[in-house]
Amino acid sequence: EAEFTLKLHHMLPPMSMAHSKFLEPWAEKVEAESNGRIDIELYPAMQLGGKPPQLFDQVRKGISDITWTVGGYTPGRFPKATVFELPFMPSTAKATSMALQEYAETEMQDEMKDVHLLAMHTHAPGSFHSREKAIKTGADLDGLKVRAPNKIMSEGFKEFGANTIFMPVTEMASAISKGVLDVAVLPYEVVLPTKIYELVKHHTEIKGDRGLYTQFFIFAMNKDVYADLPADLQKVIDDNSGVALAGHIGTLFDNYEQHARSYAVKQGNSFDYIEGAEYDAWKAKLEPVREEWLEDMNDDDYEAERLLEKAESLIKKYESM
Amino acid sequence: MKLSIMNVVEVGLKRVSMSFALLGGLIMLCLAIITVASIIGRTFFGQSVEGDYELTEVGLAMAVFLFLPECYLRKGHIIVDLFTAHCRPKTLHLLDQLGHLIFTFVSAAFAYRMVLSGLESRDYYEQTMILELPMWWVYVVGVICFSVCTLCGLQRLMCSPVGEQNE
Amino acid sequence: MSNVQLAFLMMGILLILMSIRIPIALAMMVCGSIGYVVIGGLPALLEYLGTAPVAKFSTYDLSVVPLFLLMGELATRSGITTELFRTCNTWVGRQKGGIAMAAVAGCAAFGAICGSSLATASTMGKVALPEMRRLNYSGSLAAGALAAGGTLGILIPPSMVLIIFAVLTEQNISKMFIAAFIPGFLAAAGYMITIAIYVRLYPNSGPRGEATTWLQKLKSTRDVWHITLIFLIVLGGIYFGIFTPTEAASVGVVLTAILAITHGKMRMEGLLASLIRTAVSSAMIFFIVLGADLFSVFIALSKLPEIGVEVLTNSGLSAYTILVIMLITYLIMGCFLDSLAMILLTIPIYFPIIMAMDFGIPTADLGIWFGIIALVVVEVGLITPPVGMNIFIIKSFDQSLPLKECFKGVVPFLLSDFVRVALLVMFPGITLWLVHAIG
Ligand code: NA
Ligand code: NA
Repeated sequence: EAEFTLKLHHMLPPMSMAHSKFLEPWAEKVEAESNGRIDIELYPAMQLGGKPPQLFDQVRKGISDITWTVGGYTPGRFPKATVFELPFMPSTAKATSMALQEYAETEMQDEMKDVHLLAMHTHAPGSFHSREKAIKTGADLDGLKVRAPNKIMSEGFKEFGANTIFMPVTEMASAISKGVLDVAVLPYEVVLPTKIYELVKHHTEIKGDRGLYTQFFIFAMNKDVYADLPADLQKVIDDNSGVALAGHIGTLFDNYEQHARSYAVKQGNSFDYIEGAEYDAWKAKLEPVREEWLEDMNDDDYEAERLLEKAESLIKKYESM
Repeated sequence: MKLSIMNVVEVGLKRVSMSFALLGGLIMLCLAIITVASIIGRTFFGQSVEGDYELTEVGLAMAVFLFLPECYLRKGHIIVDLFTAHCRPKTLHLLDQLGHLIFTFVSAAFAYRMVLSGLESRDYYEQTMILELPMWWVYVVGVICFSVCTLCGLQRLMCSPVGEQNE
Repeated sequence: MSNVQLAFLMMGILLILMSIRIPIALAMMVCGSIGYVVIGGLPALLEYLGTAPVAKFSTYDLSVVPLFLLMGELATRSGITTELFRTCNTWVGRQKGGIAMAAVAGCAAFGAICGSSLATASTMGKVALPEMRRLNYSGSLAAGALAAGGTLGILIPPSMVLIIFAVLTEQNISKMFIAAFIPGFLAAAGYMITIAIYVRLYPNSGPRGEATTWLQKLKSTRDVWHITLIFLIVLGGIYFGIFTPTEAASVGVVLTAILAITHGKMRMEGLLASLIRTAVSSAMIFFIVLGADLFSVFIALSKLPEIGVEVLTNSGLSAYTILVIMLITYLIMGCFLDSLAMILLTIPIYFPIIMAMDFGIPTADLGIWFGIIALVVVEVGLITPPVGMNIFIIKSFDQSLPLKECFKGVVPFLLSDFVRVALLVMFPGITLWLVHAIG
């Protein structure tokens, strides 16, 4: 019988990659290293109630003990992390995740003060998945109905004249199947389970030193629950968190991205790339989004330039590792 | 004297509940119109209504809260009366009073806890993604409506005569 | 007591509370709360009470619930349903049991634009029940045909329950709608055949209506231009990618509202009455959604589903046996629970089990096939005693109808439902053919 039973609550179904390849093995590893003194019960698919935006609060208040959630679901809550959501920030999920975790450990103590942070990480950079029209240049986005992944990217696509629509992930597949949407912007990791690769004909990937955009995730534990663990069990948790864990999760997402992409290849879809001069043109075109972010953050009394620079240099650091 | 005060309360609650229900219904009608406007906009003018999905979610939650008191007053909640069909009126009255008691208690519990959650939602700037609508307004509507439900429940508990049963 | 035993105990108490006139939603809240406190602790429950209502009620896909109900109300005011019923009646009313058949046909046609069986049963019941009583139809046949016909509201797409199912299981809503088409049509045909057999067995139960000439038939058909138009706009809009199936509910509401004002001469008073009735029915459903959510959180915490999966998969039973066991549990639950509550309660448990088993059907099709079968079986719950929502609605239009007679009238339609479920289980092609042909 375990001494400590921890409830891990998250939103994705049990068959998802995050559940089966990341959370379940993580839980098993912690259980094994604690010699069975910690037992982690997984509750996927919001089984403990509430909606995904409430996952963070549930762990903060101890309704669940551990959670894994998308930071963007609670806009305004983690302003410092939004630097990683800017266009042309992310590198591979591995490097970006490790950078984000170090950034969180040094810059985000106040934003994370209510929980015990295990790791922050990102997914692999997203791509364009379009139904009818292949997107070869930015001009091709003009007038298309584009589902943006978040508010920052929604502003970005408007620069290209796209008609941005924000709809829940659950609506997306049926919207794209009949053309209510022309383009979805997502990582392949989401394209695979939603079967969007069967509904679209074209994919456009960004090929340069950085990817188009990413989202950040928070893997966190209730503070009191962590504090109540004896030192040796805290060490088990510590051994399974931090920059190393962030890198591990990032690698999982990078590998799964390639796996998921292979389905689109097998489907016989076309692939286009934004590279070279076009890549530079995109970067220039989306520059106003970065400037607006700097302005907004400065208005809110953050040292926006410093944070941006720090995020950039951390990504470079882990890229070269 | 006591009777007439209770009558005033009863009439007042009825009016409030009905206006709430109408307001909620109008919200749903507006949401339908916004959705249609958004569809027309994106199909013909290349621009949908900004944040139409969020508006639907927030509006829906408010509308449902506003619907609750009227549903209770009109005995809209489903009950199983097959097994109690042959009970004496007095027994039925007792069972229905139990139902009213639970309803009152449940509504009060929701109202009380939603005050706390609503305050917290405000303190943590809980808001929607695109329009950045603050969510605590939805809690305000919820608290008001569950409070009205509680009052309706109390009113029923105190003055429903034997013989008057749920349908 | 183990958590699993607690789960069974609470299910027992739930049944007892429901059978002593405690509203279903409240019974679920009480039992769910007690279980939640025992396993998860009081603070967890208190937190849940504070956040769950806003979280559950602000679910985008649930917006179709009040919208479809409002559509039903407005349709009654616009006169669409009256004219629809009249047209169906001129075509088949002369048959024995013809008006009952006309009511079923009317339900099917209205079900093709509206996704709620509550709305379908009530809007068609209001028009057709007085007509059947006037012509001395037996109470049993009248109530049975209308209650069963009402279920076509969710059996024929668009369908509220299917939207919820698709969301829970991450299925493609458009594909689910296409898949539901042939089974829905079979349901309507099955109910018509049932009426034809019934009036042959009990000749006095459904007398013939008035004879009509071909000219009258054709003229009356012209009267249903509006519902045809709405149907074409809604279907065409979904098919050509103008809007999503969920958004289609809004389109339907706006179109019926326009018709209600221009064609049905609806004035402020009528609009207000529609809104109030929509409010009452919606609140009833959402209150159950809230209760079912609390109860299913408790069931998840008890780990009953996981243990159930383990027992079933280790039992050595075949996939089809397990499916049949599930369908039987639906029939039993259907006696007490609302169709939406059942889907919300069971799908998180049943769906993973089904997807893990080998039915000899590709995984992509399996989810769709199971969804349609589940839809048909939970729909049966709407007409089985003691809680049969559709029966209650029909009875509310004519309080002189004894409840016993209503439930008796439903029996032949239940038989037709059972035949259809068996066909769908034995021949997956009925469900999947159209998906492959169009998809
Ligand atoms: Na329908
Ligand atoms: Na039933």
